[in-house]
Amino acid sequence: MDLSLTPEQVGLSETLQRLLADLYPAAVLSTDEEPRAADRLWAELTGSGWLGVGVPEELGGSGGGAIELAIIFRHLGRAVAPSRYRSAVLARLLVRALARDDQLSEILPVLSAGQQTATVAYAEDGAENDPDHMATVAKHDGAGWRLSGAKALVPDASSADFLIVAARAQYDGALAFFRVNRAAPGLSITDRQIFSRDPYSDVVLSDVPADSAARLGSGDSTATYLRYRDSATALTAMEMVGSLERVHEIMIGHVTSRTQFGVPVGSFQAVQHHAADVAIALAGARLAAWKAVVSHDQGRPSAIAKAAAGRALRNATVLAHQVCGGMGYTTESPLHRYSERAMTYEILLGGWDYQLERVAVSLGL
Amino acid sequence: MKFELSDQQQEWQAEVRDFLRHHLTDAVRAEVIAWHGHGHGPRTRDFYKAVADRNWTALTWPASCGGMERGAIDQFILAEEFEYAGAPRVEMTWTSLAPLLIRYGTDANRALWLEDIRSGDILFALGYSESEAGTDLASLRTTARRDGDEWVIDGEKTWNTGAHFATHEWLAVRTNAEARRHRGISLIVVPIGAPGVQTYPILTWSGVRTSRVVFTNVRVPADNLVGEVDRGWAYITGALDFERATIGGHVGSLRRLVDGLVQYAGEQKRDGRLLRDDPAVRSGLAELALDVELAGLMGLEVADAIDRGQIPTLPGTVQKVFTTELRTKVADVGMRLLGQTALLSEAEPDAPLGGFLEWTYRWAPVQRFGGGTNEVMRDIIAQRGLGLPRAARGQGR
Repeated sequence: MDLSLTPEQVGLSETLQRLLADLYPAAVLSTDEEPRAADRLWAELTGSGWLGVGVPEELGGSGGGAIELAIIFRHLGRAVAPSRYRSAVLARLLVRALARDDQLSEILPVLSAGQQTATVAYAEDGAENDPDHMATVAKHDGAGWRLSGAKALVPDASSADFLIVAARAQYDGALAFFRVNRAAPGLSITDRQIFSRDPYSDVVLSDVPADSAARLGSGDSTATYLRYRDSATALTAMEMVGSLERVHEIMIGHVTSRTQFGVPVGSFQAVQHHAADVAIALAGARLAAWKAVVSHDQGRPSAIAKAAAGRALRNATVLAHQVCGGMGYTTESPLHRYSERAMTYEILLGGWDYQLERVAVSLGL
Repeated sequence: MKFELSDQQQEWQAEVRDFLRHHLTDAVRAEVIAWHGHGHGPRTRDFYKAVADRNWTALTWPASCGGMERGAIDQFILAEEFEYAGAPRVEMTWTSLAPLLIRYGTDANRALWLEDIRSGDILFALGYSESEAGTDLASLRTTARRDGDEWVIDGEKTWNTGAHFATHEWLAVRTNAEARRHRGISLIVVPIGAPGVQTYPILTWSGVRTSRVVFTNVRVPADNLVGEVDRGWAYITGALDFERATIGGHVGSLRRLVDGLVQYAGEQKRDGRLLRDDPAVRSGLAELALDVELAGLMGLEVADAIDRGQIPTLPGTVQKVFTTELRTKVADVGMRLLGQTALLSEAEPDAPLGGFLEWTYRWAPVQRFGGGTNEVMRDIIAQRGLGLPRAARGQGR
């Protein structure tokens, strides 16, 4: 057992913190400057090999593993950075889990270098989590397929070069994944406005052609998908932990500098106890997230990590709004962005109740 | 970053489990339940003898003091396995007070007590609190006055758990009336059989007996004063940083409760269905399991910090608050999930979980205010951990 990061990992973490403070500071949030800052950040993330972290160099990546990737997610969470990097990395993880060797050597270097980006089109109105209820179908069409269905709130779909679309294969009912170009005939993308401003779109597929090479892997991909989803869930928990750390800092910063009745409001015991409660929840959520990231079987650990991080972050944003009062409620304060993120990531990949049920199953219940 | 136990740690865990299989008989377990682990019946004494024979009483001590020089993670594993199995408690005389003697004590202190602690012949009862000095420990009034080669002790201690079976009192006393509050306190060891020591029982809701102990003109040799005179406060707070981790760190028993509840839910029917098929039971038990996992991770983090040579003030205090409040939650949620059978007293042979759940409901409150109230713990987290300004308090002295 060893709960520390290597000096190289600490160095990576510090580099990222500086980079984000420079390119995507809190001051740009909710201002006209935000889109330009997002573009500059994206240029850095694609241009300097950050998209290749977690992919071996022989597959076109930058090396590093789950821990390095988790460090990046944590810092993106701290900065409430745009979801674009996250969407691209999660799509890449799914490709890597599913694809055959020949597909891997074709797709992975392109994704790792940022020459193209992808996003996962999985959730539907009636099937957010459980693959059994997937309604999008893939019908045989000669040697290839035709996809029909509707995907709801696909992240970063309008900027991705291609989508990884989940569908039920005709005849055998296998869960199958297809690489579909954004410009493919029959594919329509409608941007939706969600309350946390990240770009999400509804995607309708009407007889979208996909040749046999577009199917990633073969056979039923349910088990592979669920394993990928555990990894994505663990990384999401770490991203939420990053946000939680920042919310805690905002809270402490405010109550240390703000005076009322002639003393810092942080000297009042009720306020101190709010700050202590967030520290306690953070300690548990951070440990659980790290455990989920490094576990071999990520099922139960990722469920625990995401549930713990979600509970802690939602509660922390409420307490932070409370102690920051009006100053934390203006759009000049970054706090509302964390509160929006808290609920967004709580829901995506399954919320508190869904994760608890996974824990219940792991207990043998 | 690695959460699995190392090969060496896994071997150690297996060795502890093997020991428990041989020495933790049903008779010992029954005695532990009867005494609630807060006393030493004859079978418990035999069990402790076996622990001492393996030198596990001195697990983390340096070799120069007869110890095994093992790390805090190994100590954590030992305590967790003992607790999960329902063994007699790992005594804090071994894990907290002896290390304090090793670190701060005089050569004479060590020569007097260490070997007998290691063999299990000496056990201390902690005499800190007084009726007017609880959370505000520095206002304590029991005095020790130097008289030639002896210290003379007068005063009264309360919540002195273990006084009726320990061999010695481990007292915090005022040795300097002139010095301000914290600066005039020393630690001193008093044999419980010494003339002038009188013990009066205090019975508590959990069934655990504690004591009020009165000291009248009690004389002990000068060498019984721990370390240096008037330095006791630093020793106490130093040890408390570690002790809180121990008080909070009873995760083994929480794990046992959750495992017991899960098993029960798979066997017991209510209103026509197995408890485990009730969605409320499923989510309730899953939430407990989740929180117990977090508590266990916090415990490992504390042990990891100690093994790195850090003083675990923040993680230890965080863990104390979280785990003690979780104990309340486990008892509360667990009893509600079980329904009316949960009301059966531990005196009933068929009480669910052997009555351990209802006993936990009664025992949980003391964990939250003992070893420093959780309110003060939150002050410490905020002020020492997060750097918030000191809150206004009364004047004290």
